[in-house]
Amino acid sequence: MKFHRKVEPAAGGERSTAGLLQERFMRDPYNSGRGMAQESGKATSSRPFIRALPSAMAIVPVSMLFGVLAHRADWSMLEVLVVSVLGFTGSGQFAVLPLAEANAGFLTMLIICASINSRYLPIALTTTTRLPRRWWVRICAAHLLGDEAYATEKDGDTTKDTLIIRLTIFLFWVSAAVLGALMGKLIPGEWLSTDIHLGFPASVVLIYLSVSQIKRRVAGGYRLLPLMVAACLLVVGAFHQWLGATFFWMPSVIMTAILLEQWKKHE
Amino acid sequence: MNSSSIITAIAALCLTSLLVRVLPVICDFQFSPRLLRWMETTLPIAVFLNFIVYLVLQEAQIALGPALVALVITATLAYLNLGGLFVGMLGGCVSYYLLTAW
Repeated sequence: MKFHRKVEPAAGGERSTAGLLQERFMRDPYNSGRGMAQESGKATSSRPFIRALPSAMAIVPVSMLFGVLAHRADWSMLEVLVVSVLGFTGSGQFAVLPLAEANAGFLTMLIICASINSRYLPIALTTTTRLPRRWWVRICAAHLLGDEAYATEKDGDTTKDTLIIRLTIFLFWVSAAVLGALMGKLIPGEWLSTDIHLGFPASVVLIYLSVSQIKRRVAGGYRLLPLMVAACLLVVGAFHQWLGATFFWMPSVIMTAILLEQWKKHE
Repeated sequence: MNSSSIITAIAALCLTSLLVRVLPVICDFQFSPRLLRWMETTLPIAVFLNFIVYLVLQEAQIALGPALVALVITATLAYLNLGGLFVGMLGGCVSYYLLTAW
């Protein structure tokens, strides 16, 4: 991936900034706007929005599915809206649906949700420098952190960029959940096929962003890269197999980080 | 379903968010420069590697063959940076849904 592509002048000077951004984004979603801020001040707010757009669109089917399922489980539109705003976590939201239906206790729900979302602990720690200083904006920005936003953000992002990325994905998520609940209300149950896996686009986007991020972050830093990646993937796979999809996150992330550190040291 | 269990669920999710996302950010942890650098460079790579394994294994449980083919196509497009995110997403999704339909 060419991350420090030289900025070429627009042919004839007639192409719009948006067109340039779009073209550059299609080539390189991460650094599509690097250097653009100097070219045009107006571009700075649209750049992170455009970067976040594919991820935001990819999570729409997942969130709509949540809305439909919540409606089927007798959640009102307002409850779907509130849970999407206050409990903004994809997997956590899906997990509480059957738990609420079974009248599970608060502590049970909390332990399960915290276990599923424990990956956010290290993620949140690594993004603190990008967040606003004012405490209440900082809290809101921290709450808006999601997997897709984390994978879209990059180290050089400003606070404003970070907020735009997180807010874009968050608003798409909340709107799609409410729309899903509305669809669940309007569409007969038998019309909704359960054979189509609506969550796949979100997985595809996360895989794409993860591979791009890893490629960018390991560039020049490690030797025997394929071997190192294979070793890490094996370790993660072993933890996943051993502790299961809910509880493997924290130990696995820490062990992988230690392995990466040791690998670098031995080089 | 009674609405108190829904309110309980919302409260549990909200508290989860406070614990795992907000707390690490508002607490003024004094990390050493070495640990800070480790958190900014090595830790994200570890997180993304975990994402990949988690997603592949989760999707493989639903449709092993189509998921593996589609995710390998996506990963290859991402690695080679062919066409950007839209093309990567399109390649992965089209191949997956065609293979599952077939």
